[in-house]
Amino acid sequence: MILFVLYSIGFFSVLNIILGLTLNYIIHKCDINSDPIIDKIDEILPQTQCAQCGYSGCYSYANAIGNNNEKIDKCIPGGKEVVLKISNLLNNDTIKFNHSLSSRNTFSAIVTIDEQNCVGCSKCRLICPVDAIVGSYNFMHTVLQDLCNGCNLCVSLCPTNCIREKKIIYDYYD
Amino acid sequence: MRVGQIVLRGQILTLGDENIPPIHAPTSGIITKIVKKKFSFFPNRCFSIISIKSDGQDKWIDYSSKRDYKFFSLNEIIQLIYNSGVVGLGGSGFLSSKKIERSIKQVHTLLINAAESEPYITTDDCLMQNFSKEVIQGCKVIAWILKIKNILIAIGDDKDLAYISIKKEIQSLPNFKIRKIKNKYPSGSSKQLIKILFNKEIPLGKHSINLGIIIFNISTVFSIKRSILNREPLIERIITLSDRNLSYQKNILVRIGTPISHILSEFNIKKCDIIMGGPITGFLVDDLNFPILKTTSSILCLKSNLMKNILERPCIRCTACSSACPIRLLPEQLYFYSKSLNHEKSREYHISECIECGICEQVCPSNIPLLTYFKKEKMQLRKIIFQENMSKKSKKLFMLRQHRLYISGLINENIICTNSTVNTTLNNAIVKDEDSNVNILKKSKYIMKKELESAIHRAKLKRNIK
Repeated sequence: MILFVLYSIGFFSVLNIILGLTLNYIIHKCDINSDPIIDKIDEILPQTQCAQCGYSGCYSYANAIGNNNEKIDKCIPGGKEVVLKISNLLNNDTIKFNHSLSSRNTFSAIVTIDEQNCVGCSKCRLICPVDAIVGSYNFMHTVLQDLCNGCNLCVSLCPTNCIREKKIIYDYYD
Repeated sequence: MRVGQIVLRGQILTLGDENIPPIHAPTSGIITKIVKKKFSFFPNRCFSIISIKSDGQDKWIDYSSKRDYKFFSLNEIIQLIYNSGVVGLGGSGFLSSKKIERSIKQVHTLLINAAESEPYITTDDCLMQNFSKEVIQGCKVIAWILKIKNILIAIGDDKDLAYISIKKEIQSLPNFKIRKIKNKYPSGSSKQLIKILFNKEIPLGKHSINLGIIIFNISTVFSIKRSILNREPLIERIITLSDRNLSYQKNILVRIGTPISHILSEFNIKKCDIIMGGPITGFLVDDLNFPILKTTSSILCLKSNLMKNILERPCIRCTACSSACPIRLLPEQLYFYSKSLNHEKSREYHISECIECGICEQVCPSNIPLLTYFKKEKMQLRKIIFQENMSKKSKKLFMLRQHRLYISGLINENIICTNSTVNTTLNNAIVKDEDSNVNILKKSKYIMKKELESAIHRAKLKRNIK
């Protein structure tokens, strides 16, 4: 009887050691640093990096929603649809809409620089989140129109007021 | 182009891009004005209208080389088709050069669609009776480009004269075949045609090229022949002018860009509502100065006040539309989803497969304009897909920027971890990725290079001025 108990204790302790080693190995192989819910929120957000929510980018806003209980109705370019999607994801039924939200379509706008008046301060180039502005210090700057996502961060920074927003109409055909 | 410039017939007015072909001047004359305008029946599009005052001489622009088409290389001939502005004239408006380019070494059959797409239209019939020789030449040209051996022509069974004239032409040619099909309404669309002729169905989200079949409308074939053998750009087409009671019906050869009011005054038609396109899928035109487009196949004149007195009543779920739908969708379900803006559900029920034939609308007992709902919903879906692609692209660019800043030492690792998603594993993910993203990056690099060159040029000019 005592022998049987000892055998079973020995068997299970060996099993425990093997399982612990494999688990450690798996964690070592595929390291899971980021919280998956934050990545999911980050996918829903429109990724314009426009900082109109008060955070420096879309990921930091998603991080604040996930960790610090931030309100979910602060994304202005996303509009109501993003709010609904995030509330669906978080199972949050009590939504209050921010009344200043109207789904403004950022992707239908592009920024252009009046190149004759540019003095080359390169403030706009440094802040652009998608590297759509090129130029060098004391030289003319220009916008690469295909890369611009219309976040309007550079408009308020220009000291000579030569950056303007231009609206474009897309025919959504592929 | 600017106001006051003199243009010749066949001169390029606007350059195209990937999806839009170049547009040619229909006649010689002086450009009087260039206006941007919106029409109420095309709510989402903005047209820029170039109006030309004709000088009455109709001078052609001269074409230098008259080489035989068999000495061209494949890229040159595709470029030639693109430059002459040929699009699918059956109503799709898809670029023919792109279609040919995609189907190289993938197709074995050329199917010529000569079944009318809608009732009352007889343009294909007229084309086959009068220009049967040129149509067959066009078929030969396309078959030579794509190295196709089987050519099949499908004709509606009520067109005996056209059948005889085509049959006469192809008697000595063994590769050509001609088939009569039943003249029932949506059999003019490509999906239905393949189902009738080959008894195959195109799988969801794929094209007929995947089955090895390339389809061209017969008037497209005609214009391809004109563009390659005669070097004429696409500036005129045949349209049908008809009354609802068929008391008069004419096929006329019109220059593209002719205003509708001019045609009406030529034939002494007064006081009527105009429907552009066929009787089922066409739309009511308010502004009679609207021009003939490349995809317009007919003009239908009704007595005024015939289109009114239609009230939309609630859906009673009789499912008459679902049993009538030729591609077995569920229109009544799609109607509820599109009305409640439920985009995910409507995508799940394959709204993008709808061929917009309009049968469901005709069958409906409570007069619901189903087609307009579906068109709106498709527009919304395209918008959503476009936005998703844009957000993916801008995220990629943002991550690249963060990576660059991190390498050059402008950002701490601590800031990176809180601010953005860049870390060592994700950096690898930027490089190894799906094909589409790589394509986007390649394309953006190319555009960047081009725009940079022009910007440097402008900067140099500015230096010289100072």
